Amino acid sequence: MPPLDLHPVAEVIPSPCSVSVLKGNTAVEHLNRTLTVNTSEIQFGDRVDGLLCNANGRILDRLMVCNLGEEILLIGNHGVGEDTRENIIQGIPWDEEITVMNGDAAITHLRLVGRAVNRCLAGLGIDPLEIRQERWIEYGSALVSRTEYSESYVIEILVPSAELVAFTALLHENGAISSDRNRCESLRIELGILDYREMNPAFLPIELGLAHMVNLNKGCYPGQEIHARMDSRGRASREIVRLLLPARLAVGKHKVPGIGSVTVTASADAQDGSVALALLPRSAIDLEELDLGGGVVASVQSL
Amino acid sequence: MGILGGEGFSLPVVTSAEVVDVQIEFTEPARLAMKSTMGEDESTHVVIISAESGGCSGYMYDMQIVKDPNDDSFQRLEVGGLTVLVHNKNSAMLSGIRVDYKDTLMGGGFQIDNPNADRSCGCGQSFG
Repeated sequence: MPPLDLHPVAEVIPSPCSVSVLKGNTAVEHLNRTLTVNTSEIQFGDRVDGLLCNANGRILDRLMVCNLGEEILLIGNHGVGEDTRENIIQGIPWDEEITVMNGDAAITHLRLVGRAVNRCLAGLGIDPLEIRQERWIEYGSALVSRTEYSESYVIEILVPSAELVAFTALLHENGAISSDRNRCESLRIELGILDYREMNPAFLPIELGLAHMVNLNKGCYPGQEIHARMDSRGRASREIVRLLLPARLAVGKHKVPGIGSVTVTASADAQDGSVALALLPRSAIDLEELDLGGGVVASVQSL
Repeated sequence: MGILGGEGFSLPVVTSAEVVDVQIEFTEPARLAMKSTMGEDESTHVVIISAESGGCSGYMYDMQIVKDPNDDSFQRLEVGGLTVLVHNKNSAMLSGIRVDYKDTLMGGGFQIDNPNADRSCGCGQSFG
């Protein structure tokens, strides 16, 4: 695989999201009944990433949970905040007081990625060693955390939307750049960052390699029976991979002779051709190259 | 001021739940088992049947014997000498349920058959 084409310092990737806030003494327990992960022991400042699934085990939303003490902040997928809040509200027991707030426009999610992200952070006065995956740290009004991926890591930043311009300018002053939409998308694909284009009801967590966001030991949650069944089988019938191609591949389903249906969820121009995220049938997962027909051959990479 | 200190939050989100007139049936074994469980509390306590998030299928049943809350948010039903309350927000989900009781060592206890449920999990405690 060619080395990741990362900026020498850092690039700012806007990540469209939904924002919800839960308030109430039993908000954490309520979330624990609903999500695929155990939130029951989340402490102040902790971060837990989980999924909201339907009874068929399919993904309704991905939620980054942040315990802010009095409130629980939920960063979800773009475009589904209303459904997620509805889902949460409908299941609140009659004897629990939980308030759900809509903060979709109030907070912006940025990702910072590059070869010298730490230099950028240090310029802001943040000690990079303090930033961990399982915690959110405060920087002024912003929250900062870190997500590990197989090839690199990403700094997650939540900033009040009213301060976005000033905050972005601060990042630029410290060596970061903002990129165009295609570049952001190609970075997302190359790093294997999944978003609403993948984490939606078309897919099961195991198909997207999200087993780490599913806790089969926590007890029942919507979708748990299906997830347990998939887990016992050991492997999904299709799995997500990254494709490297000479030319851009259209998003959608492609019939590949001898292979079956290949579902492309995202595609972008890259340094040497294009990159895409796609779900391949199980029989094709271990291929190094995939002949898509018409002379188009893609390199297959696991995420 | 913190991440939640800025503008743009709408407080709070309220969804309108469909409210229907609830009908509930208790089988004779269920009625007797509930009366036995309530004992002397029957005159001061009520049975609240509700649904909450969770379980494999989306919602879980809950039954509680509590002191009468005298709250207008509940619908009050007299079922075979029992006072059963269902919160308005759960009325559409729970109307028409049939509560049964099975006196067996394995898988016994109160069981709910819900005509509104598209699916229920193997243990019978969850529906969706």
